[in-house]
Amino acid sequence: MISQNELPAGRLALAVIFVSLLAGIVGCAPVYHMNTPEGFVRYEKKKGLAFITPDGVRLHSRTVRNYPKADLLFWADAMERHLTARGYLLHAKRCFTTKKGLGGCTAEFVVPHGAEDWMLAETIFVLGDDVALLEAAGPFARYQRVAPALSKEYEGFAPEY
Amino acid sequence: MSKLSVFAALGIVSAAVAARGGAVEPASKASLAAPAPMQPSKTTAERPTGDQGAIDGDAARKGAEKPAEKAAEKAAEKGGEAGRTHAETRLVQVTATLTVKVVHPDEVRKAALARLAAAGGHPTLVTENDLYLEVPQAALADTIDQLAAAGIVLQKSLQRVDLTEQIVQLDAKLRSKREILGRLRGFFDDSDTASTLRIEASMTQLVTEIEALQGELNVARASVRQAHVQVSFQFHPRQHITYVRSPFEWLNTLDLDRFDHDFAK
Repeated sequence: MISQNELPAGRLALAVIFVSLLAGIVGCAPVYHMNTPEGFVRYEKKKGLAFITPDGVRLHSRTVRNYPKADLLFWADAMERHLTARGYLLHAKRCFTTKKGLGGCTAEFVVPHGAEDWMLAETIFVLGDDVALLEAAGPFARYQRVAPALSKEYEGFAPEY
Repeated sequence: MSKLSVFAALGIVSAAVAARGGAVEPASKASLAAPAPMQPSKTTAERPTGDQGAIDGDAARKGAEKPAEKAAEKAAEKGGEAGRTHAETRLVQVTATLTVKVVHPDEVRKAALARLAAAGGHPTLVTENDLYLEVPQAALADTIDQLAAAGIVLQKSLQRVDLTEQIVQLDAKLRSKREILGRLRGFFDDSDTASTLRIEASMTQLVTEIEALQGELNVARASVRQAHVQVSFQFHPRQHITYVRSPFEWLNTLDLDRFDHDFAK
């Protein structure tokens, strides 16, 4: 008779396969590479790319589904229209190519936040079925100080599968 | 002058008054007892606005008007199309609106006010984040350039409203009413008490209308004499932030508050 604490070999094998599959799925999630922009430090508490400055300007990456499947210019335009319709003020927009030949677009929006004006910068890269988003935000004046460093490092952005 | 012509003149005045939605006021008891005056029964202090110059049409003020205004009036009077189409003869109200992000608003504000005073303008509103200025038209471009150079321009707009027609029409109405007033004054000599009272009532109404027109004209002229510059050092249309939904689902996740919340997790 098998005790409750012991697993039969078949069940153990199934468990291993399940864990392996899960790891595989997780492994498929894109990992991004980008050098730490000047003035920022890595924010270790967050997964993915996460940086923060001592005065509170933050950057974080996330991935969304490229659905309906569209190209970079479509999404850059759709994002600008959507946020402008919501009342965000488009401050600047720049499309560029990374050192590895990937196209990206950054749109900076001004938005009131508490008693201050803040900047929300959305940088998008279309990666097949995914869209990589680099979101940066901070009080307007503080963001302006680090904006050139961010732009520089966006050009070194690369996905790692 | 016969009574008939006096009442005919009054009819014209009443029609004019009625056309403006006004009414001829009945004469007061005081004016019944008093001998018929050559001036309207209201004293200067009792008049709602304006001054004798406004009622009589002051030549001095006209002399001080800008050449462009005079030219526009002349052009309108003569029907000279060449004068109307010439840009310099137009009376244009200019309003410039700027939103500029600056690091030190206090310093920029002080510098802007100093330059404004030197250019012959004046501020109409000075707050921590806003600056409303009245600037001579000639100094408008420089003022905008200097303000824009002080920071990052987020928004900039320029609105031009042509007030030439409005000013010319107001001036014509004013002249017409002054002429009627002048004619009414001449009727007092031959009129009896009843007619005098009616003339006086009509004159009172006319004076009110003349003063209102003069005020309107003064405002219109003042608004073209100087350009209006509205500067905001902060972008603050919080009421404009709305929750519009996009058919593309991930776009709905773009939001500063959501970013804040996710980063803090």
